Amino acid sequence: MLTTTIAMISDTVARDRQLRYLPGLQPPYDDAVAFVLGGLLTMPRAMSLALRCATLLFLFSGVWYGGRLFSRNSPEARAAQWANWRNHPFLGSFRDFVRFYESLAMMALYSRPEAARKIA
Amino acid sequence: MNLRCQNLVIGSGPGGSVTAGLLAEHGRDVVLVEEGPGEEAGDCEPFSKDEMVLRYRNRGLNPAMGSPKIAFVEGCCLGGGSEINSGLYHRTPPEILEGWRQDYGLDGATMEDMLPHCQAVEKSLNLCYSPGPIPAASQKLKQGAEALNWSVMELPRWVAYQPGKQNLDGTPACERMGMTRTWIPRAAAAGARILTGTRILRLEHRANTWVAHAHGREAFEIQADHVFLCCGPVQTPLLLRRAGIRHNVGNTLALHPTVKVIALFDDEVNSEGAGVPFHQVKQFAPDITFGSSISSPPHMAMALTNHPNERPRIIENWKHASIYYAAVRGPATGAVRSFPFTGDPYITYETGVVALAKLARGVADLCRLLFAAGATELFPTVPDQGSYTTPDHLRRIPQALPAGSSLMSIHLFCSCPMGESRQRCAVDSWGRVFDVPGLSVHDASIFSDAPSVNPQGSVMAFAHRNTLRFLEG
Repeated sequence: MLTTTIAMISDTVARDRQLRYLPGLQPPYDDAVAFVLGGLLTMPRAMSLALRCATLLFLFSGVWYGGRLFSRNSPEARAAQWANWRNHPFLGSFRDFVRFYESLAMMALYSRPEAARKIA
Repeated sequence: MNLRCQNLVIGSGPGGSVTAGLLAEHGRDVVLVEEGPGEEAGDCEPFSKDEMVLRYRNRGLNPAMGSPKIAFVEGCCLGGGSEINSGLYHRTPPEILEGWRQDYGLDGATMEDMLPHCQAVEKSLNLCYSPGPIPAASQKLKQGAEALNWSVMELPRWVAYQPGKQNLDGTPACERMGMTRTWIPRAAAAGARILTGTRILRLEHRANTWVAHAHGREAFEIQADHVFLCCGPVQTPLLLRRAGIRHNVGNTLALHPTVKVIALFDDEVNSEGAGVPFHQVKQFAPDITFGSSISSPPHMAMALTNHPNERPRIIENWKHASIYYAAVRGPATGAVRSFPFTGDPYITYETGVVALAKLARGVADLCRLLFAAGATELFPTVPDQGSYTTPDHLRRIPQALPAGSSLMSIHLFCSCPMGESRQRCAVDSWGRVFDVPGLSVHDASIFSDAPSVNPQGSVMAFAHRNTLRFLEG
């Protein structure tokens, strides 16, 4: 469940505003999932647990945005949910959640040789 | 596999390596323990994702909780932070040393006292200036500072330039002269035993001997007459507190909160394999320092979390973009504690309104400098700011940075401050823990206050000074 959610988060951040894939950032996302998951598992255990709980909350709150779990929603609904959490007016932890996953996924995806070739 | 030694050094970063090297060269029976990997960390590209995985503690995922939260990184490999940084060198500024003397009663650490130790460290590190062209991002910083008549300096680095070899941007290629190339081989050659992949879980004082409960491939004990804690400003206070030593330990963590600005230029300032920028603007030192950092596409993508919609455009033009930073001297308002049950570190840090105001001023002045250097568009890591395309836009910068700003730090210190003031300090002027025999601290924890400069030179100089004092008896 965690792996699928991270893969779909990677898929969401790998697209531009028109939901097209950015150059070199197409699926599959095994590399990003391994990097992000590795980070989650090596960080202090209490924080890791809190983040994993937040990830489950994020997954299930997809029902509110698109009628299904985040990982099963359309790219449009996923992008809307991601943007909503990123800009949440009250909950700083939602914004932190987005920042955490987005920075790690970006680091992993733009480290791909194919991404480097596309933007060289 | 229990071990016995005269001197146990925990942590192989700059403080631990210098300490172990000097002790071993003076004939002591030394064991140097490192939690992270040794050679098995292999050769990985500097500042890459692989380096984060292999050489950073928790892959670089360390938050200091507060408002705003601050992400910080620490090395966790043989050589510690010296293996992952840019190798920029500073001596501790004389006015900072004077402040430590006045406020914390630090003895024997005037600039004159420190000079021989600084010189010894500088010689060992092959400290040098770039023999060739400077990176374009650095050139822009210099150009902007000169246009505004601000003080700017090229920093020496602890690197070995490779004659005839160039980076792809034409700057001279070099290799880091981290601890694995300098002090650790010296320690090993002098007979020090080096254990990597070994974590010290706790220390216990038993019948005039220190016992370190270690865990590598298996659990074992290391007995030592004297223990030197050199595990950095987070792990050192945790070990002390676990040993029941709490007086002024872990209560005054300081750091250099840093905010970034991504600058777009008309001309190319970035390239694959670009050299490390090594200029800093010191016009507003010690309060605020400006510099530039590694600006590869992955780092740029990470830095643009406040500008997700602009990110594709900037990444597409990454050769015209570079990352700059404003770092401020933060207050010592942090605390190092451990989570109940797990024992993992829990770090809090309150940047405070004064430092947030300094950061806001830093963003504004850095942006002025970058416009003067020819930047066409600037993206601060501050929420709700958008981009700045003219100096007029800088009026949007708030008086103090908001809580949602993306701040980071690579410089942490002061969690066990040093000096003769027992009211404020955890260790004396020579790094010895007050009233606890056989225990010293030789890392950035002992800085009395934030030094305002890259700390590794100071860590090494103080480790050199304190170890020689220890050897004198």
